[in-house]
Amino acid sequence: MSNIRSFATETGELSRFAARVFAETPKPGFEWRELLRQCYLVGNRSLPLVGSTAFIMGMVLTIQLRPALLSYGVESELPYIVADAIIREIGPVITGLIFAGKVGSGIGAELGSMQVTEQIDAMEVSGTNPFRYLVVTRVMATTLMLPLLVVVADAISLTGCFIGLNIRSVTSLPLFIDDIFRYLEFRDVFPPLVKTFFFGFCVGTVGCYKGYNATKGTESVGKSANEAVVVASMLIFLLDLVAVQVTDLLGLN
Amino acid sequence: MKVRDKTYDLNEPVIRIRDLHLAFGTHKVLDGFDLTLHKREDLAVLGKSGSGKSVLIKCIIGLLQPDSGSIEVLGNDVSDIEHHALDQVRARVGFLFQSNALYDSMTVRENLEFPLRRHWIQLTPEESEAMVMEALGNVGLAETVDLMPSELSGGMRKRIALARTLIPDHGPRPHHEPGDQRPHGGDIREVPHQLHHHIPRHEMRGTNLRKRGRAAQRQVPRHGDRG
Ligand SMILES: Nc1ncnc2c1ncn2[C@@H]1O[C@H](COP(=O)(O)OP(=O)(O)O)[C@@H](O)[C@H]1O
Ligand SMILES: [Mg+2]
Repeated sequence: MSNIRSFATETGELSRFAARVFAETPKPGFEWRELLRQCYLVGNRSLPLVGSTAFIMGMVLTIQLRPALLSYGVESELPYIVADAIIREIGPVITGLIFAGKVGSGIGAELGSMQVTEQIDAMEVSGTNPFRYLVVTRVMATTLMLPLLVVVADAISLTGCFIGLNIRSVTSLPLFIDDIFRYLEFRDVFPPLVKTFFFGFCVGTVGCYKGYNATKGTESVGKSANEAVVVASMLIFLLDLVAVQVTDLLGLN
Repeated sequence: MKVRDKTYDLNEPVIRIRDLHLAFGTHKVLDGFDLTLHKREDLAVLGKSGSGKSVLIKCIIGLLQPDSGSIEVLGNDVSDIEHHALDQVRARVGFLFQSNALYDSMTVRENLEFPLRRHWIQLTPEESEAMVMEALGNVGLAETVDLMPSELSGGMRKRIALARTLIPDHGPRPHHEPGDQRPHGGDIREVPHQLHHHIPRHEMRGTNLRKRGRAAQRQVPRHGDRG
């Protein structure tokens, strides 16, 4: 019972926090420099991990799907099927989860330690709104950078797919590209791109919320980082579920 | 805890606190606290750890909202003031955090520049650099300007935090004479006293060390230290 109540309180607090991000973003005096710095850090921090997992996913998926498609005699469809799976689901979700693990936990720990060591209070006293300087810039950075990372990850996955194909058979690059883009439509590309903005917003908001609300004591820094990853990952799956329902209703599946 | 400050001065008060109450849940930390601090006066608030010195000081600076009571700082009621005015009051009050609260992702220079970001302080890069170097010189640590806080010793960090606290106080300094001896080296406890000759400011410290408290001109005991 108390678990349910604390879950409800937490959900309410998190929504209030997200609403505050929206309320504070359009106010004058936006921290552009800090936003650019955060975008760079966020991208830089997660690109190596995102890139290598994307490559492996593309290759593994190709090699595993090949026998099944062979038995149906549709091996030529392999590039399109892999590309569709990656662009629609695997790219956004895997990248989002890695992003939550890498960037979300980083934000949770960073803001958590700033809260615990009174650095956030110090900003407030120094005449800089810490919510705008720290939270708004980080949430904006994750919201803008995750879609970009997903596009890069999709491209790397397809490279992995191309190499995977060429292990057992021979496909030229122009043919491979043609095989993919002959079938790829707006509805394959656009809805997944939209949902990645929500994933990015969710990772940034949850990380900042957990860090900003860290209580006194160093152990709460670790707790903030850990909970940021768990909650953000859960929310990514929930958002994914909502997204598929919405695109289904709109006839975009 | 109920402490009344008995020494009254006819001078204009810098801080005037009346009947301050603040409780965290059922834990009453401040229970009818009164205090008056006059110009050019040093005041130390004494008390056991956990008696509410930091909470009091955070109320004065507007980081915590009291449940009731009034706090006037430089003639402004900080618990009922709009944000810009509060910010201007804060710029005139030096606040040193117990944990120093240096920004550990920023260099010493960026730490000191941070309070100068206030939108009404319009400085050229040269002016701001000069102020940073002067503030660092005042605590005898000019050479640390490009270091990160993690590269400094505990005592150095305390001094940098002090320099960052003093930097927005960029009004006229009548007691500052260019030929003055700058404080250099020595114990951190001496630095505020040395600075006193350069920068007239009203100093109020929360401390639980009687030794440090004696250095102040007047002491306000918190409960446990009374009598
Ligand atoms: N944000 C807070 N939430 C709940 N209790 C607090 C908070 N800040 C301080 N307290 C409590 O208030 C009391 C006074 O704390 P503090 O002012 O930090 O003591 P000190 O006099 O040592 O500086 C302590 O019992 C502390 O537990
Ligand atoms: Mg204290």
